Amino acid sequence: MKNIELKPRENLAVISVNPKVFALEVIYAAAYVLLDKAYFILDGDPEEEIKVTMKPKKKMQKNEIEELALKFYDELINYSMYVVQAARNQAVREAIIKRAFATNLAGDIAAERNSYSKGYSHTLKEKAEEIKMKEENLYIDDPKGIAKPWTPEKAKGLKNPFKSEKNECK
Amino acid sequence: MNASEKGGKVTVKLRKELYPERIVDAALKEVGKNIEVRKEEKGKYFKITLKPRSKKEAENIAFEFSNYVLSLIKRTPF
Repeated sequence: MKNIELKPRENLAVISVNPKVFALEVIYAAAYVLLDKAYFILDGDPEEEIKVTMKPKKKMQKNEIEELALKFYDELINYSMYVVQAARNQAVREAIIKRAFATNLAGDIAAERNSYSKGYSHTLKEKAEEIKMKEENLYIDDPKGIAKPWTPEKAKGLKNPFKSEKNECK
Repeated sequence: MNASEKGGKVTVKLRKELYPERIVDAALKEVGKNIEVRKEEKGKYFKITLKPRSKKEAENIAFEFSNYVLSLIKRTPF
């Protein structure tokens, strides 16, 4: 295959990857998935062509090395798809994150409301000051003594109507 | 081939544009706790020299090192 150079005697394969088709990040990710099966060394010009030297950890036949190299290509496509989907869903993910942060801001909103209520109570105090009666207007003439509050002490010496009714019944 | 063995020392060449220096340094710092390591800059490459403790260890140590650097690249946010 043109992009896969097999070297069964050395137990390795050199895979050519076009960086214009597969981003460097995708190449790292594809290699990372196969790290347990093979050793990888990247080389080449990141603008023109990246050469991935893949050496299986176990001794393999030519066809097995080729299979592993093709698996590497599968992973390249897999991660490219993931990157494309991630770019497409970016707006949705951001919206979800914003929403999550907004939930955490509930405390701040409560604080804002609290400050609003403080302002409201402040306004009420001002209003109360406005409608407060002047000192001289608090005292009005009461010639018949109606305004005086009734207390038991003041009732001493007065006739208790209830008490007298009870006595009459006896 | 980017990995070679000579005089009990293993050398691996890593292209600067593909392997970020800070990641290579971090890997060297970690590996350097167990074996002797050295980093040189040769043109577009970092030339890493590793001195394994045994011949058996020397076999794949260069590849193990490059795999370790790759894993660090993947795990480290850019």
